[in-house]
Amino acid sequence: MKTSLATLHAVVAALLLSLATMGGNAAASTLDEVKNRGTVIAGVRFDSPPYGSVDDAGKNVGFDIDMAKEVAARLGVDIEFVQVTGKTRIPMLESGKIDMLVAATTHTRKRDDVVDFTIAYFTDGQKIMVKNDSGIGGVDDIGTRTVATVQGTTVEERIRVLAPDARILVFQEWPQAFLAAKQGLADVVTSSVLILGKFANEDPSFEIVGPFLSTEPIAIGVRENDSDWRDALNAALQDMARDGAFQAIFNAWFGKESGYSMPMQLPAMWP
Amino acid sequence: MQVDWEFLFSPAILDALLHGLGVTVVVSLYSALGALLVGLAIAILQVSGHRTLKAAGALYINFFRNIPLLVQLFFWYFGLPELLPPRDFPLLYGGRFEVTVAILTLSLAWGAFVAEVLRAGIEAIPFGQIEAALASGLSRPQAFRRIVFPQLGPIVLPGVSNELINIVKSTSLAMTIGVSELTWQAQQIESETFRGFEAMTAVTVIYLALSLSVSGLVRAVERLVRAP
Repeated sequence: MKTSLATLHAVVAALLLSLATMGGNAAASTLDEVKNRGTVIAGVRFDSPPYGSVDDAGKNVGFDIDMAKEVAARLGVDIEFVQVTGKTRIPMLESGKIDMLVAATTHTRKRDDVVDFTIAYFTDGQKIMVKNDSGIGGVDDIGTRTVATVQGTTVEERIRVLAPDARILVFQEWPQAFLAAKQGLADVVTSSVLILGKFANEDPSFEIVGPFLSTEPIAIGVRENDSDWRDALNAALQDMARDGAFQAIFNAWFGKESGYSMPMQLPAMWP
Repeated sequence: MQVDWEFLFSPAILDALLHGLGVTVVVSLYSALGALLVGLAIAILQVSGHRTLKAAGALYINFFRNIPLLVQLFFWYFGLPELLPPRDFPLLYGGRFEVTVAILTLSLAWGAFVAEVLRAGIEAIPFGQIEAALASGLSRPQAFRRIVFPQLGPIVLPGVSNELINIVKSTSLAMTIGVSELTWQAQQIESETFRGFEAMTAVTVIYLALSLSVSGLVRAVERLVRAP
């Protein structure tokens, strides 16, 4: 018995040690890996239209999807999409399961501690959405009512601060948060205005109310300390804005026909 | 990736884990109680000897045993407001509705499995004993209560122990409807601190401890009922 326990200890210790040293990989840039592989693996959302969702035919569609495809084309490689959620996206990137995170992700200082980001390619903002007859006109009217949101997002963190007495219902994906509001289980849904807008456009019994609660610079996430890869993506984003490819994608998703009628936003372009 | 175990013992993290553990224990206890009651009721239907009751029991078991738990959770959580609108039943939705749904779903679903364990246990008792009991003037319910029931413990407890452990483990699915149990808290820690490996290891150890306590407890009860 004693010896078998000792063996067990040794095995567990070895296992933990190997896990602890895992990920301390060589210094090769993701850029070289992607070029050698001929495919870039993009982490995208399946639950966040108009950024990233899946259409009836099972194909990935959205602003982020088109952005990722265009970036891949400029790198001269094929693209493969991998699903990430609000909560899995940073770990998926850190652990090397994806090369770039194009997933409606806000560049925050906290996230910047563990991963890096390209320049912002879009600026979104948080708002709240309520039933037309709710009597809620802004975040101050929420009080002790119920707010639905998604785990691991900047909007979840912020609503806990802005509506400290509210009951916060935290789901794993956006469709469940919206369904909860539809079924009367939540009085408010909070998200970025684009994600709320998609839902509010389809269901006129809901409206988006109040001023912006935040500014959310949306950027592509890359692994920490991989300048070559980040430079390549930054160059691709800026080239897209220079030759009009960015504008075409922007207008297709956020322009007049989309129902959003968003004024054009261009990413920063370094001279 | 740098592993930092000390981070787990910071007050905020410990607090989150303990809170999650509390919710997991509460949901597990109520669900276990519910599953045992449902299981007993269905098992009695199954062995009642009455054709319609038996069919009803079989229908129940086939229904709840064969639908994924996750689907059942979503069905009740998002479907119940359809049958009982929140506006008309504020009491049902007033508290922590997601916790209520989790306990209800786990009780109903695992009740079906417990029923099968109990039925098998009851049927393992030689029919001759019941015939003898009936011949000596006991009624059917009396025969069940005095002859069958006292012998059940040692036969069914190992199987029940399995189902109880399953109940504890399946409480983690409740995070999908927003129950802030142990796994949910681990994910929350992960998304706030990006230290998912440490958080998940802590949760793994806690679940292991919980499940081992359950099986230890049942084994103690087994020893008790076997004593005479």
